[in-house]
Amino acid sequence: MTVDRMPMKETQAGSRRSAAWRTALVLGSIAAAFFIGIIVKKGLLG
Amino acid sequence: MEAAHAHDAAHAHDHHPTGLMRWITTTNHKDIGSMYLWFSLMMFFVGGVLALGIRSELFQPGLQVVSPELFNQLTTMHGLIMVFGAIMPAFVGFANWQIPLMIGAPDMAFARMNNWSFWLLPPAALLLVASFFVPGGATAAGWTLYVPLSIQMGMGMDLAIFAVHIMGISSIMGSINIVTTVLNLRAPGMTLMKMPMFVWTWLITAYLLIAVMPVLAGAVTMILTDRHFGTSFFNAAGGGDPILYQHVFWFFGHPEVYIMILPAFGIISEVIPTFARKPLFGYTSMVYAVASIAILSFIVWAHHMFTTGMPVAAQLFFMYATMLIAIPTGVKVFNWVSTMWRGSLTFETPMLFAVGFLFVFTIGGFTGVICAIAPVDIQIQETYYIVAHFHYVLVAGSLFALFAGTYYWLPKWTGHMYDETLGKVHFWGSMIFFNITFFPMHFLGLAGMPRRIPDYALQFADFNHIASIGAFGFGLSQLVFVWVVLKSIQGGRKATDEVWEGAEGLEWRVPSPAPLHTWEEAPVVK
Repeated sequence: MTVDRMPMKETQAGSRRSAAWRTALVLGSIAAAFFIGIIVKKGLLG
Repeated sequence: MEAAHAHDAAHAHDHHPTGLMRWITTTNHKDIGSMYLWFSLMMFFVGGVLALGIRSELFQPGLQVVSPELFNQLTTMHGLIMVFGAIMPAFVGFANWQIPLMIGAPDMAFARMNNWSFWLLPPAALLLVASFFVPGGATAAGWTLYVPLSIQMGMGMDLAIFAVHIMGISSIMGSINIVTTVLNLRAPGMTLMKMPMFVWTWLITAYLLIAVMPVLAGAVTMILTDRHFGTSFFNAAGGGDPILYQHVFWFFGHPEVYIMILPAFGIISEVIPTFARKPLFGYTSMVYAVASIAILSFIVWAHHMFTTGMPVAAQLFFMYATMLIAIPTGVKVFNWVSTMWRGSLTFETPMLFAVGFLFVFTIGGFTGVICAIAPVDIQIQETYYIVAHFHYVLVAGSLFALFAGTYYWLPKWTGHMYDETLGKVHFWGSMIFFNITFFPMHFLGLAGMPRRIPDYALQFADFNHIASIGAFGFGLSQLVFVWVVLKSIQGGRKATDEVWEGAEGLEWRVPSPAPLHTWEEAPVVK
């Protein structure tokens, strides 16, 4: 069963599910920050 | 018993699409892994055909086969397709197939995102290939897409930028999936320091990808706005700085080199212990070596730019930082050799490719140290020495490791042993012709032959002749690989679950071929 399909009510699976989404959110934010950061810092501010 | 029946019933009610829809809609990590591998194999041949176009033109001096414009398109697209279409997706294919099997997870964490990550790739590849047919042809700015060329190119450049964006999004989503899977879905008892080396290398690679792919996306976005929206990030005519592009590109580009080699290290670290029938020597130091290489990869980018004119202090910093990478890499080579030391060695095809990797990749590593020396690099910058160096790293390194991994896990994927004789023919063909192709390029580079030119001075003719013959031999050898794979899918000696005597790891505890669903009940690792 993947995180996509983990039932939230099963405590252990549910906590793994939210942990997985938290991990993905943090990593996605890092990626977005690098994308915007490189343009703003290097491109616009010089 | 009741639970088993319930389990059967659950599967009986699964409505899996068949035919093409199965592959389009699949969320299964094995299906998606297979699609990545087939996709990369196809792109490997597309990129290979472009390479043979290059080598045909360089077979003798003068212009014979292609125009100079097309030649530049061939070198650019060969690089882009091999890096983004062949090597990277092949490793992601391995990650998809193997990581859940190796850590005892039932699938990747985000199975639907996994499907999306893959299906972004074919349109991107189509854009790249189609760019040959638009007015002005494909982009010819080199795979680095350096400005000012990339600002001046025709529509093919826009297609390449769009393709890089799409492939970047695919890579970032794939990496997030891999990190999340490894951090959250490991079987009970599998601590980080018990993970197989292949999983470790991919975990670190995925972090690298998340950090640098957005930087590349940012760089090409700035090229796009310079081209069409009146900005001057890099356009010198508007006050922009072309060298800034090189800094931004190589901040992505150097970690990218390690993105293409770290998973290769992981595969080699799985193969050698199996065929030496010994545990990996220095597991902990291997983990720290991979992490060190990854961290160092962020502070060496300007060694690609020694000739752009930088302060001596900067040259010294980037030179010594680059040389430092030889230390963790040396640790890894030492550990692989030590794993083999007094082992019960046998040389089936995966081991042949692994040992071949050790020999030939190490040559590429050594020439890398030579390139790192600033005064030497200033002499050999933009010569065939560089071409020789990075092909020793990417073909003998990444590609040979991919072959080692394919032969190693193919019986687990297909359920049949591959044809060992044909495998050995493939290995020796690849090894011999690889060296015939690329070793002479060191001499060409040292003699001053520049890269990315369709014509050259007469004194370079002999070595180019040899290199071109080698390239066609190498290309033909790869047809043997396709034959071996297809033969193994169709039939052959039935593979056991363990496949290899001495193989360790969870993937060998599932049947061969691995069923569609594995580890629905997580195994316990002691």
